[in-house]
Amino acid sequence: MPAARTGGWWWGPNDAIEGVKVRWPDGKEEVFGGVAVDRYQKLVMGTGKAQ
Amino acid sequence: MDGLSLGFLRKSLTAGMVGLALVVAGCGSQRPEAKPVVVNNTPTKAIGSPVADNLPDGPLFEDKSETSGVRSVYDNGESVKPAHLSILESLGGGLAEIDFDGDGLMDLYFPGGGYFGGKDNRDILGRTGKLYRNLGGFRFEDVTEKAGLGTLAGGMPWFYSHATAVSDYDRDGWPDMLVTGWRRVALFHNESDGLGGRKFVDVTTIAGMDQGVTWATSAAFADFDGDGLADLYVCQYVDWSFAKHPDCNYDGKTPDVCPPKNFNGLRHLVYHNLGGGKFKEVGKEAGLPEGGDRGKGLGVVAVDVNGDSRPDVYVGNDTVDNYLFINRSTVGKIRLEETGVIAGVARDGNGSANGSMGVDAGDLDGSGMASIWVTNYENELHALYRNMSKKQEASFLFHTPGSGIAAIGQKYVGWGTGFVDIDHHGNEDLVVVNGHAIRFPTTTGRRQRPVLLRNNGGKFKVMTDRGGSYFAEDHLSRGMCIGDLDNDGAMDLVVANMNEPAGVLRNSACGKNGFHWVGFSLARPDRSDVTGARLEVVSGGKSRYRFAKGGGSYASSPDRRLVVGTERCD
Repeated sequence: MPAARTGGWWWGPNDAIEGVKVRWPDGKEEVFGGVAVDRYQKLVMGTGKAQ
Repeated sequence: MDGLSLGFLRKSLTAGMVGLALVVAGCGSQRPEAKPVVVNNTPTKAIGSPVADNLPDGPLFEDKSETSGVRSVYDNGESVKPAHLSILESLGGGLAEIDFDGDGLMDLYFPGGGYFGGKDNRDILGRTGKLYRNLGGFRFEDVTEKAGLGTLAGGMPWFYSHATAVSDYDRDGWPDMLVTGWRRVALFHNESDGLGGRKFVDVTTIAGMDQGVTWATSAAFADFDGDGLADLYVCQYVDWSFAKHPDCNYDGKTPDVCPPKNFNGLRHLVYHNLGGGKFKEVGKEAGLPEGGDRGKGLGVVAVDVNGDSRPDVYVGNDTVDNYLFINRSTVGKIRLEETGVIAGVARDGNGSANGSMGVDAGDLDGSGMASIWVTNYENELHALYRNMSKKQEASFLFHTPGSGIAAIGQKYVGWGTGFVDIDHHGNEDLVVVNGHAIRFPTTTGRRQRPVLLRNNGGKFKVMTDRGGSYFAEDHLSRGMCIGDLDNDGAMDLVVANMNEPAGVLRNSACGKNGFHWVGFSLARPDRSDVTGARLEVVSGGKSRYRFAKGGGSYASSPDRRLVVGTERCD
């Protein structure tokens, strides 16, 4: 999954995932890139990129 | 719906996160060429509009109970002769899904319940619970003794147990576990066994949780005061004991378990996590109501319901008003304001308190707000409270009649439950496991079938007959966990049954329709608790929301990973 590792959005033919955002308990909102479909990943606050 | 637009995507892109996005194909294949990111300002379509009700062919769940190696049977002690028919025997137990050894697979822990012994069989004794390590491929091995859960601290025997809750309360990166029950709770710290594995150490006394418990049922961890440490809410039930054990019947002649109205409710408990492995019970100072005609708690979920991102607490109480605690805490001082009646989630649509057991929260309509779901007693409707909150003022509408859920009738006594997108179609369906609370029900069976409800854009349709063989049989169920046991993105089910083996059900629906999914664990760098957080995933122009929760279902601690189906394939 090289695209996920380089921080790009993971696009499918129908743009399966168009955006991922987390609102944390302190109220701050954070958009995450590098999201891959059909797998688990970790969203760590402050990193902006799925791991 | 303004917050649901793709505006946040554009913001991230202009910030330079992504210039060009690499393109991959759906359904597992990759598209080789890069594709320019196109951002538009078209408002995101609400999930409330129906999606195609395209259930995949075949049974939705495959019963793996027999071959899984999971042999847990919750013992409620009812085999004692002569029968006590105590209300203690009615609650049963739940389970936890906890990756205790960090191998990436969800392991299972089942509280064991208990039995009666001593003079006149009036000593209330505990059964050892069972910890099953997930070996992969829906195979499990019993590692209870090896993991240190055979006895309590000092080799003391187990107490009569009901529920579990899971959290990394000391932020060491390993999930710890609480077990609740009659007159006790036990807190287990997850530690190295010195042999490359993990074990649990009973730290209840060290943590300051060894006193003050009367009858603890469901529990939920959440950081209420925002200090980064997971605090703990523990439901308490009623003041029953053998010193207060009246005779009851429901048909004028047959002795049976007494209803909760025969007993006083108990004040619930709130443990403030002080750090250093210490807790302090602060329920009274936090504002929790006293017992008496309140309390009688059975199910709890911690989740943000008013949009301020902080974890609130919803509690299902048995035959009395349910609680909704809005979190008003400040760092170092937990304050929970009870607003159940005002917010419209204490009673049903007729203004009557229900016999509530299982609870969960999920986004019903694409609003981004957590609606509340409650399973209730027979002759009552399960309650779906649609979240109508604005400006952080909690407000709900009793939505059961308008949702189609009433179609299941009022014959069930519902316990473990939860929202789950069974086939990645994007909307969260509902699962309920059932079983009567009394021994000799007069109008329905004691053992009852589980129920599946299909969510088609906020309208629910009964689909129990699609569930597979397990859903075609009657069970005496209590707790249930929704979670992914084989990491394929399809949420499986584990059911804790009373006096019968647990059910282990593999989700066989996902993949058949080719929908994509994404799964997430939310974390903070310092491992602070994230309960209250909200995940938004935009797919196909729709925003889908999932919530970081504590507790949920009944007496259980489900898989905390958040999975979102995309309803997109090719």
